[in-house]
Amino acid sequence: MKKIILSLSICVLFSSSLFPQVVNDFEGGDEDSYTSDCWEFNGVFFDDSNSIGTYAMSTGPLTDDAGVYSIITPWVDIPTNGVVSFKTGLINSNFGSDENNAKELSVFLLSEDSFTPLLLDEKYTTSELQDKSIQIPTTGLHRLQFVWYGKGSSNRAVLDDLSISGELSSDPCEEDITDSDGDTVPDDEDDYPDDPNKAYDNFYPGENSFNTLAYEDLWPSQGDYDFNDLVVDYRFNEITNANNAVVEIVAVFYVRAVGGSFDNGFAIQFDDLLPSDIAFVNGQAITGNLYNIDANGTEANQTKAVIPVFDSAENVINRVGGSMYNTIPTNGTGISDTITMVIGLSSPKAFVGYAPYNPFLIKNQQRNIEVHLADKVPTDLIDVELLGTNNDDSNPGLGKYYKNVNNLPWALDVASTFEYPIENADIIDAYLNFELWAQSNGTNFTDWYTNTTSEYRNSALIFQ
Amino acid sequence: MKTNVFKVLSFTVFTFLSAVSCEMPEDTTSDVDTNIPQKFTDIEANSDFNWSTAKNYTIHIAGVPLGSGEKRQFLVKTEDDKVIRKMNVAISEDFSINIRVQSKIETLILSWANFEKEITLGANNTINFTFLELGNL
Repeated sequence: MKKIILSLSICVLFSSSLFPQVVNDFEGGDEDSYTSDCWEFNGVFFDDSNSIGTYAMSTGPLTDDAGVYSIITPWVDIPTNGVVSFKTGLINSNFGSDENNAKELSVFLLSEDSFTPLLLDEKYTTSELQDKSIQIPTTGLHRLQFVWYGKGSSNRAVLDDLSISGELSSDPCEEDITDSDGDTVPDDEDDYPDDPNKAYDNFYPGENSFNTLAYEDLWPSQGDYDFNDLVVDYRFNEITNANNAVVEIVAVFYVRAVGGSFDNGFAIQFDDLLPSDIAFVNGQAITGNLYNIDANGTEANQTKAVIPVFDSAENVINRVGGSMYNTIPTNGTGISDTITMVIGLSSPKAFVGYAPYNPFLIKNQQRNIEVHLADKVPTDLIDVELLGTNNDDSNPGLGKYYKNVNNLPWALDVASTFEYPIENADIIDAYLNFELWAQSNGTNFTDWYTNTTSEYRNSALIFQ
Repeated sequence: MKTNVFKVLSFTVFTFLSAVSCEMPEDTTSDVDTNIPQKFTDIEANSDFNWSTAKNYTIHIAGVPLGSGEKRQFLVKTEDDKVIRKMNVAISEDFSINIRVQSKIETLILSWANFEKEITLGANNTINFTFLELGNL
């Protein structure tokens, strides 16, 4: 008992110094004697079979597959010029200091919200017990973590007579944490502090930004490649829970342009989700009978989860006169309605695919004709007889979809709000580095769609 | 007189012809380089070309044996401090993140609590990362 009391002393005179010390000589003999004071032990044990007092802390064998062993001290309020001192050595025979048998000790300084590597990171060069003393380069509340690892021979490491300058302190992490919904994510980090099923917003491309999908709609025939037959901005938010699994997806769409006469629809296939993975969908802009939609908001008769967004762009655009919509500058600019869809998952999913998933255009109210991004797989409802006809060179056996014989696509996913070409302006005339990007296989001009310099675009051919 | 006139005329014609023949041959090629696409359909792309201007990455993060297992917010950020992924993890956990970023982005910042480290994005879509290399074992 006397030994235990001594080991837990927090204000012990250290040598001739008057500074308080947190000490541990491990003579309590088991973890229970220390865990109430917030010592933590990972894979180590109290060893009374050595010659360092009655007990010392000991690791298991420091071999290749043993992983690591560690102890973490309680919180200590460390003063200026603080020092940590201890005894350490190796036990068991056959110690070898060569690389194949190296044993190593690292000592870290942990703080409330960070860690500072390293106070010590060195290999044992002898099996003899050594006295170590390390200056602590900071002050305030910290914990120290001792980590052992090694390979080769089965030596164990021992630690004893640990002493740290400073006073034992309570855990600062526990003082100010408020977690209203009890999901383990503190309120100040929780985007949904009152909802235990949600923790984080994860926006793509960003909370306040959009990317753009730009389509040609004459597939399988080629068009004029102004990529403005349907232009849709998108933003997705994958809402995750405290276990980092997706529980809900919020999708926002905005139709920027309709540069054609076809009455096109628009939908998304989630290649990594089944229809049964979807619990509900809110916010679709559907007025007609293009889709056969099940009760959970997914399209019927599909193997994968297909979620219609709108059956006609006319549902959301507000024309200002003239032909086309926002592709002929002299016709003025219309403002569209924003579509916000909420897609609830029936159970949390670790991965739902990469946004924008697999979005596609439905051509002129013909449900069996879809236009997808290059190499994206069509849905079950497409007329597969159309693949590889006219200008299309799709070859499902090769995984080639929606590309012509020169591997050119009918749709682009632009990682920015794309300022698309005006009516009938070929994209390579509007964006002067586009072909350099494509012909370099994406190596050059990855920012071809930007306005970095006057050499990037012909503004007269871009709808603004 | 006729002879002199003839000589002068002959000299003039000879000189003119000589001057013309000394000129560099006129470039008979068109101003248009036929190798440069003049329209979209002239482009020939590789069969594996990624037509998107964003790339997918999977980052495998190896935990380090630090801390006592408490979970903190882990962030993936761009250099301009835009957060693109939030997670709730312990620094000691092994975990993976699937992210999609603009192809033009070359660097991401990973942070756990106040500890931050940069990673460089390259051609490989899979990145192995650890906050801390423990020794050289």
